[in-house]
Amino acid sequence: MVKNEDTLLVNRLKKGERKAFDELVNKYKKRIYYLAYSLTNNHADALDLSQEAFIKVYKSIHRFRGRSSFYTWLYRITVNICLNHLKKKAKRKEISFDERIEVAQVDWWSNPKKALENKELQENLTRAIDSLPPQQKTVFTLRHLEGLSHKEIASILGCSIGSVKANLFQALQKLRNRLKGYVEG
Amino acid sequence: MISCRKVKRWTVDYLEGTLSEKKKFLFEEHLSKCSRCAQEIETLVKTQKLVRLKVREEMPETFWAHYLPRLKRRLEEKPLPRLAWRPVPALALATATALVLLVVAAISLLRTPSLNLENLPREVLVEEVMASNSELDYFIAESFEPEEIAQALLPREILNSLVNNNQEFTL
Repeated sequence: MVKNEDTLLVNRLKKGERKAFDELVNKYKKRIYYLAYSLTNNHADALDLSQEAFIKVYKSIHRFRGRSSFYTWLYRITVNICLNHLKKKAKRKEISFDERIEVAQVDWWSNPKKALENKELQENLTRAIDSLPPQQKTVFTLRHLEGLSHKEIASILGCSIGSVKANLFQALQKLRNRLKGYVEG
Repeated sequence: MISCRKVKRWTVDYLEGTLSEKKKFLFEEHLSKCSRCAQEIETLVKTQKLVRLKVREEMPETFWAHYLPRLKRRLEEKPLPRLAWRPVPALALATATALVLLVVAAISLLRTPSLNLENLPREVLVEEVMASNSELDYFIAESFEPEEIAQALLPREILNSLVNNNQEFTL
């Protein structure tokens, strides 16, 4: 249903109907913005990069042949734009992935509601995810924050499902090492 | 019993609950006998649960209301005008060549003294140039006139002094 709806909108856009573009933007803007935000951890960058993705869609819609679904294509464009941005940023700033986040010993497992409201925990989770290498961070974000399947992620990133799983495993190991204060003891 | 390596390879599927019943049995059988893997998986399970506690900061509705109008403004922004010669490589090449020639002419005008070197004895020029430049043989081989070599290789002061010191030859 969603796919058919998107196909109709894409076809209308290909015929030059600007309103179809507006509908596609309104339909996907939140998902694309939050994806860009999850990857960049910066609202200004997320706004800029997500809009850049939509502009690219508008300008190259004639090249979309429908071999994948529209949202897979849109996600791929967004992820590529964000990855390029992250790579440029990583060149400017070296991050230590081995750094361990020190935390107060609190049993979050017995009170998840408290965990959701705890600012320190939320900041530490953000910092830990943000410290992952771009590829692992992207795979982790698409899987755990966007809820995409391994197959969809592989299609978006143009890699194998095995590579997606390997990246997820490595990301989880790195997060565990950084968040040892929470998961050990 | 399956190997520790296989356990690592199946971990993601185990954590996500997508391992087949048979594989799950083998996986858990390994964990019951390998404390190292058991501890590894336990901490990874906790890590996965922990990251699921991450809350996404929601943007206010006013932000979304301005999203599309802002995007449309960006789309309507005129692209930067292309330089006129860009689509015409031949014209670009001609322009670049003309610029290079202009620069070379300007430099040679600035460097070349308005001296009448033709009236200077060649042996004076050759001697001076050879004393100051070991590459002379190359230039001679290239069939340059000594005046040209002197113009190209000698500083203006030396050329001036040569002309001044050899006034008798020009008279």
